[in-house]
Amino acid sequence: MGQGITTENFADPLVEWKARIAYLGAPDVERQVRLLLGGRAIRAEDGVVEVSCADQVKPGHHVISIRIPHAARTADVGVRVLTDADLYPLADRDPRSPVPSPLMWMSPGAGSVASWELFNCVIWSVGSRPN
Amino acid sequence: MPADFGPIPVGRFKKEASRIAEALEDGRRVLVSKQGRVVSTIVPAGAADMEMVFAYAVHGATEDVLTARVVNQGSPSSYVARAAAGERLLYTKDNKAIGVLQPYDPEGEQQRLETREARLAAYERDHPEATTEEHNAFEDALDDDLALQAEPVIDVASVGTGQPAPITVDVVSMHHFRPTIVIGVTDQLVARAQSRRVGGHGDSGSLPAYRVAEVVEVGSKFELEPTGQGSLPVRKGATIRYRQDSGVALEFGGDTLMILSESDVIEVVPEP
Repeated sequence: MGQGITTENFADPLVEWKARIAYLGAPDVERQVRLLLGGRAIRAEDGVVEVSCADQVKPGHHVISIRIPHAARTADVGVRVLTDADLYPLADRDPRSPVPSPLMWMSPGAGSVASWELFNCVIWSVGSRPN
Repeated sequence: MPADFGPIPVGRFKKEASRIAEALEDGRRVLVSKQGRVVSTIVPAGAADMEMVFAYAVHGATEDVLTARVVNQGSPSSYVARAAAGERLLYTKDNKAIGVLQPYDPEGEQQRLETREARLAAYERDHPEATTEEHNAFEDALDDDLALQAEPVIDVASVGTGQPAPITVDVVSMHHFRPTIVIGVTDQLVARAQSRRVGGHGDSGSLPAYRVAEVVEVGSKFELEPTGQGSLPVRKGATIRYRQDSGVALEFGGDTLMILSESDVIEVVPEP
């Protein structure tokens, strides 16, 4: 289970983003987002739960999209690597390094299956758009 | 509706082909992913892509065109890889060019997302009792607005002030990810959108009333249907303003431009 998942305010993302998660508008997607932000590993598979990462210009910054083909909306989670410069307690961090991101958060499986587990990262946005 | 669609894993391209086409017709960018990473996008074919469209009309499908046949054979992967490497390839369906497959470019994305986040947070502060439907509707309207803004917005409330009544014409197409709109029945007027707006109050919950564009080409067949008094010539360099109240889509079939949705409304701003 991933540790060191926080927000820019060093709060629990499931608390700080609670309202936004509730506004996602797709229960199945919402469940996956809760698991991911809670440090649980989620199973991604094409056509079932599709997890894709769009790299941003700033190194270590990404948008992870959680899409379920039949769901009404797709979730976008803005995430960045928790760095040494972040004043986040060492004891609360995960012993694993997230660099290079997002590769360290993703474990490929057979076929299109992959496992996504966040750790040592900052959640800077949560939103949704029509699927 | 300019919010992105996808990401669609390249392995799901065939099964999602109809939805991809619908998204493009709605003016949405389609994100395409490979092994969990967004590597390319498909953007609606617009006036800026006319050269590619004409080449397709003349030469038909070449190896630079991702056709429905390739997709149905389940082999679009190499095309997506080419786009990821920097190429721009036409995407066709039913012999019509509906999009352009191109590299994913994160430039400007983060700023857009940070602006989106700030405005969404402000909306939530102002509307703590919003329902999920209301919240989602605001998010969608926000995406609609941000897609038009490649640069920070500047209010220019003085445009058109004190001038004769504007003339209303129909917009045939408006490309959400390229600063170009096409007006008229057969590509008769092309205007370049400017990153400024007219009206609105600029606060986080307010969406702009109008966008402003400059006419760059006027065809000889272009005609206006005046709704105000008098007549007003539309010529190169003229300023127009338009309102994005409804989605406008276009589709190219060979060298024919077809209207797929109801027209939007623009107003030609009288010159001083």
